[in-house]
Amino acid sequence: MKTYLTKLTQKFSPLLLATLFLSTAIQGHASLSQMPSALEELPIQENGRRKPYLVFAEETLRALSGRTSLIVAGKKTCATELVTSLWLEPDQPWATETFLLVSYGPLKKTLGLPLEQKLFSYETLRHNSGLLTLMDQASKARRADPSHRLEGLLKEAADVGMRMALFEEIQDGSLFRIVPSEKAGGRWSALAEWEQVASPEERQSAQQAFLLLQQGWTQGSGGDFIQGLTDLKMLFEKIDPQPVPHWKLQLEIFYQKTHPFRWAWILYAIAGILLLFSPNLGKGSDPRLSGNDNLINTTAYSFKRFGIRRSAWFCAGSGFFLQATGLLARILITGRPPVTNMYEVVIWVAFGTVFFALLFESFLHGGIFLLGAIPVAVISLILADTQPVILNPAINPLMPVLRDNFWLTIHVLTITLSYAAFALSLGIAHVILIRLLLKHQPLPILYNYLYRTLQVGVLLLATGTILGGVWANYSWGRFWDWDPKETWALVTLLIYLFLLHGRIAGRWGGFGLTIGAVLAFLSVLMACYGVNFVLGTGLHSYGFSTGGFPLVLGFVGLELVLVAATIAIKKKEDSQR
Amino acid sequence: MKTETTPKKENTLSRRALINERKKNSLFWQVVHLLGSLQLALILLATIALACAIATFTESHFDTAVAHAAIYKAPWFMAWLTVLCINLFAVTLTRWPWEKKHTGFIITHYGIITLLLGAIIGMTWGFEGNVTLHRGTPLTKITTRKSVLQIESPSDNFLYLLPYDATIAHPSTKHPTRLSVPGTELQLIIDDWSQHLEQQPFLQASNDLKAPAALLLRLQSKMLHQEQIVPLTLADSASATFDFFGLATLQFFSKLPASHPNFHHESQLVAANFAPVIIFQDQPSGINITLSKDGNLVTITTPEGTSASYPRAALLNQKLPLGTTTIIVKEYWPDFKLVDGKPTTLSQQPKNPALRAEITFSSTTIEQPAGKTTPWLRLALEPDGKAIQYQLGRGSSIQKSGTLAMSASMPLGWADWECQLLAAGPHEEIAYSIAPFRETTQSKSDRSSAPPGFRAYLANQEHDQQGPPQWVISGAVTPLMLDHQMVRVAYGLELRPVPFSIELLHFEVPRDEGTETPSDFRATVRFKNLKTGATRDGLIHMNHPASFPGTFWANFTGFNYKFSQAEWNPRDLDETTLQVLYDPGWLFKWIGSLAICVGIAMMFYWGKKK
Repeated sequence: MKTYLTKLTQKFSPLLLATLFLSTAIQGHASLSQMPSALEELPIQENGRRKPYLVFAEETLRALSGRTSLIVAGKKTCATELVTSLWLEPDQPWATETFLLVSYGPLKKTLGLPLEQKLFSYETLRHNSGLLTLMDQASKARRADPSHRLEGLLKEAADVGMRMALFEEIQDGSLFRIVPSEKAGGRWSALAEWEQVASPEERQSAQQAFLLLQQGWTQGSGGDFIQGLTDLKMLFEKIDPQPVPHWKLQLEIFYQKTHPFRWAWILYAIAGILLLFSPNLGKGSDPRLSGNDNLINTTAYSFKRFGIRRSAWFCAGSGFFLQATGLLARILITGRPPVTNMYEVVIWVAFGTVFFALLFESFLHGGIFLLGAIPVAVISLILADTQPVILNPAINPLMPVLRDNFWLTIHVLTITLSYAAFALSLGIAHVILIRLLLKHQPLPILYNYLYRTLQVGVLLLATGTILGGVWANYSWGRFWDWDPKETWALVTLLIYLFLLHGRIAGRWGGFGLTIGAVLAFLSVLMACYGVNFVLGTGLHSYGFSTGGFPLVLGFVGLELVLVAATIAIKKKEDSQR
Repeated sequence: MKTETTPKKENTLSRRALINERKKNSLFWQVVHLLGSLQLALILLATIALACAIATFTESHFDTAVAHAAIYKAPWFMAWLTVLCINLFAVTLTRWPWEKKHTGFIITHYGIITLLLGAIIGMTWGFEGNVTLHRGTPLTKITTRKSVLQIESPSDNFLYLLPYDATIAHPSTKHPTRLSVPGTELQLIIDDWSQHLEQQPFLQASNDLKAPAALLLRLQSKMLHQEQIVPLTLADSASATFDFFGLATLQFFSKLPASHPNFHHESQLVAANFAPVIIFQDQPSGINITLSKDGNLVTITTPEGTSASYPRAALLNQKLPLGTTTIIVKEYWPDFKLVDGKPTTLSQQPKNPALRAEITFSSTTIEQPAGKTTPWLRLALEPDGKAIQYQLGRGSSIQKSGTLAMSASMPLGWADWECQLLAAGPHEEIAYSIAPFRETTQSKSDRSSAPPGFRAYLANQEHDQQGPPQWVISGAVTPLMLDHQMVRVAYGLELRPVPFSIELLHFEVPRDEGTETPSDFRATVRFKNLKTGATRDGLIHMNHPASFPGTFWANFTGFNYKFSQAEWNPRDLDETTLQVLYDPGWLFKWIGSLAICVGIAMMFYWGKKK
C-alpha cells in the first residue's frame, strides 16, 4: 500500500472525457474478434507458481471484484480482456472505474458508501478517510500480534486494502511477471524490471515487441498483437531453463474455460427433477419395494414412466462423468489429490456422495440412493460455483506439511469420503422424512439402506481418523494430541457409534435412526467447517478461513425445524393409532 | 415360514440358553453383563463425545493448556476411559463362547483396548519434547513439555524435583500452593502466577567506589509498538555495547572519542522536472532537495530521513541551519535553460523552475572499521553524573552531538526510534526486577515469548515468620530468603538427558518459486552415540523424521527417539526446532489401529448374507 498516497489524480483528465476515452478503447480492441490463444497460454508467475495468462487474469479479476467478468462502458468484458486492457493501456483512467469489491454491509455503512453498490472505484476508496483509518488500525493490530486473526470491520477493511494494493500492482505493471528467471525456480520479473538488467540488444527487441503488442491491442490489429507476442515469447524461450509443459498450460486453460463442475450440477439437477417424477423408487428388482411408489405420487402416471427414469440415470451418469473428468484435470494440473482446500473438499464430497449412491444403486437397486445423493451434490456444487470468496477455486502452493501425496491421499481422501457417505445418509434420511411428511406408507427397507450408508461412513471415518494419527506421528511427532480437528473427528465418530449402538440396544428403531442421521450430520459439519471457520485454533490451520457462517447457521436451523416437524407428525400419528 | 430348525439354528439357541442360564445363576456373570452392557456403552459414548466437544470450545476461548488440564488429561477423563476399556472387555466376555461371526466384533473391541493401552504406555514411559539446534553445537538434552520445580534444600544441599505447573495450578493469595522444603521446617508458599513475566533492569547506586559507571536507556518506537530498556556499564567492553537488532550499535565510553570536524562544501542544481546535478569535493552531504512544479516550495530531506518543506522565497539568500549543516539557496530560474553553457531563464513563468543551493556541512571523522556504515550512538557520562554526552553518527561521520539530560528524550533518526535517559551514575550496579508483563507498552509478539513464572515466599509456621515474596521466572534460579536461611528455587520445563548427542550440520529452506514462502525444511543432523562414539547422519524434512538409533526394530517397536521438523527461525537459518518423540507404546497403537479398521470392516462386510 505504498503508492495510494501519492497523487495520481493530477495525471487524469476530467471524468467525462475519461469515460469517452474508455469506451473508444474498449471498442477499439473489440475488433480483436476473440482473445488470441497465444495470449491465453502465456505463462506468468504469481503466488509461487506459473500459470497460463487466462487463469491469472480470471484469478486477478476475481480477487479484485469477486467475479470473472464485468460490465465496462456498458459492455460485458471478460477477465482476460479487462486485465489486458489494464496492462497495455495504463494511461486510461481505470482508477475511476468501479472494479473493487466491498461486499460487507456494516463496512459500507461505517464508511458511508451506498449499501446497494457492490463495486467501487479505486479513487473513491482511496479518498475515503474512514477506510484509510480502518486499514491503518488493521495493519497496526497485525504488526502488534501477527498470530492474531482480524475480525469484522478490520478484517474486511484489510481485505479491501489488499484489493487496492493489487490494483496498484496491476496499474504499475509489476504484477505481470512474464519474464522467466534464468535460474530454475527463481523469481520471474515484469518486463520493465527485466529491462534494467537485460543486454541492450535484448532490451531493444523486448521494447519493440511490447510496443507492437500495445499498438495491436489499442488499434485492434490482431496481426500486430500476435507478432508482438510471438517476438516476446521467442525472447523468453531463450531465457527459461525449465519451461512449463505445453500440454499442462493447455489443460489448465481447458479446465478453466469448460467449468466441468458447473455442467455437472446442472445435469444432476435435471436428473433429480426427472427422478422426482419417475414412478418407482427403484427398478423394482428389490422385492421389498412395493409397486408404484414414487416420492410425489400425484403426477407419476402422466409421464412415460420408463423413459423418464432412463433419462434421469443418463443425466446423473453424464454429470458424474463430467465431475470425474474435472477432478482428473485438476489432479493433473496440481499434481496432488483434490482435497487441499475447502473448495476442493466440497467438490470431492459431492463427487463421493454420487459415487456411493451409484455404487449402492448398482448392488441394491433401491432408487432412493440417487434421489438422496443428488440434492446434496447439487447444493454443494452450486455453493462451490457461486461463492468464490468463501470457497476459493484458485490453485495455490500447499504449506510444506501437506506436500506428501501418499498421506494426503490415504488420510484426507478417506476422511472426506466418510463425509460423503454421511452426506448420502443425510440425503436418504431427508427422503424418508419428506415421505413421512407427505404421509406415505413407511417402507422398512429404506431404514436398512440408511443403515448401510451409515456403516460405510463409520468405517471410513474410523480408518481416516486413525490414519491421521499415524501421519501426525511422522510429520508432527505425536500420534494424538487433542488438536480440535482430531477431536472433532473423534466426536463425530463417537456420535455415529452412539447412533448405531442405540439401535442395536433397541433404544430406537428406523425412525430414530433417520432423525439421528440428520442430527449427527451436524457434527460432520462442525468437524469439516466449524473447526476451520468457527473455532479457528489448532494445527490444521491450512483450512482456516472465514465467511459463510449465516449460510451454515441457516442450514442447521432448517434441519432442526424439519426434525421437529417430523417428530411432531409421527407422535400425532402414533397416538391416533 | 419353516418350523423345522437347522443344526446351526439349534446351536445358536442352545448357546443363547447357556448365556441366559449363567446370567441367572452366577454373580460373576451378572457383574460381567452389567459392566459390558450396551446401556453403559451408550452413556460412555455420549459423555466422552460431549466432554471432547466442550473441550474444543474451552480451547478456543481460553487456551490449550486449560483444555488439557480440565478435560483431556484430567484424572476423571482418564478414569472414564478406563471404564470404557472395562466395558469393551466385558462386552466381549458376554458373547462367550465366541462364534465365527463374532470375529470382527472381538477384533474391533480389543483393538480399541490395545490402542488405549498403547496411549497409556506412551504417556507413562515415553515422552514428548523439543530441541532447538544451532549449527555446530551438539546437544544431549531434550526439553520436555513437563514443568518442574527444583528446590535446593539448605539442610543437605540436595536438589529435590517435583512436577509443578503454575499455569494449571493457578495459585492465588486465596488458594496458595504450599510445599514443604525437605529437611527443614520451612514452607514454600506460591501465591500468584503469570503466563508471561518480564525482567526489567534498573540501576542501584553502589557504595563500592570501584563499581563502574552505568546508565539506563529506554529505546522506543511508537510506530512499531516496541520498547527496549537498555542498561550499559563500563564493567567490560561487552556490557558497554548494545547491538540494536543488528541495525545499529550503542556504545558507552568513559569519555567520548575525540572528533575532528571537517567542513565540506556541496553545490546542488535542483530542478522540478529533472534529476539534480550535485557537485561535491570529498564526500556528499546526502541531503536531498526537491522543488515543486510551480517552483514555490522547497523540500529538504536529511540523510536520516527527516524531511521538511519551506517556501522558496524564505530560503533565497537566507542561511538555513540544520544541525551542523547550513543550506542556502543562491539562485533561482523560473524557466531554466542552459544557453551557451550558462544557466538563464527564458521567461518569468514557472515553466521549468530550477535553483542552485549551496550546502556547507561538517563531518567529524573518527576511527571506525573501514567499510562499515551502520549507524551508531556513542555515550559518555557528564562529570556530574546527571546527564550524558552523546554523538550520533553513521560510518565514520558524526551527524549530531550534544547532551541529554535525565529523563529527556531525543530522536535517533532510525525510523521513529527515540532514546530516553532513565538513570545514570558513576558507581552503579545493574539489577533486574521481575514482574508480570505489562500489556501497554510492548507488542504482543514480544509478550508471547516472555517466560511464565510464579510468585513465592518462604514461611515458617512455627515461628510465624514470612520471607519477602519474589517472582520466580521460568528458566532461572531464584534465591528465596527467610532470616538467614536461603532456599534456591528453579522452575521450568524439565530437561531430559538422552544417550546420544544431536548436532545440526546443515539447514536449508527451499522456497516456492519466485516467493519467500517455504516449501520445505531440510535439516541434516548428526547423531553420536555417547557410549560407543559411533556417529550417524540423518536428514529431517517435512513428513520425513529421522530417528535414533534408527534400526528397523527400533522404528518398528517405537523404542527410538524420533525427530520431526517443528519450527524455524526466519531470521536465523542456522537454527531449527525439532519435535522429539520417544514412544514405547507405538507398537500397541499400531496394532490397535489396524485391528479397529479391520474389525469394523469384518463386522460390516464379512460373512453377511444378502
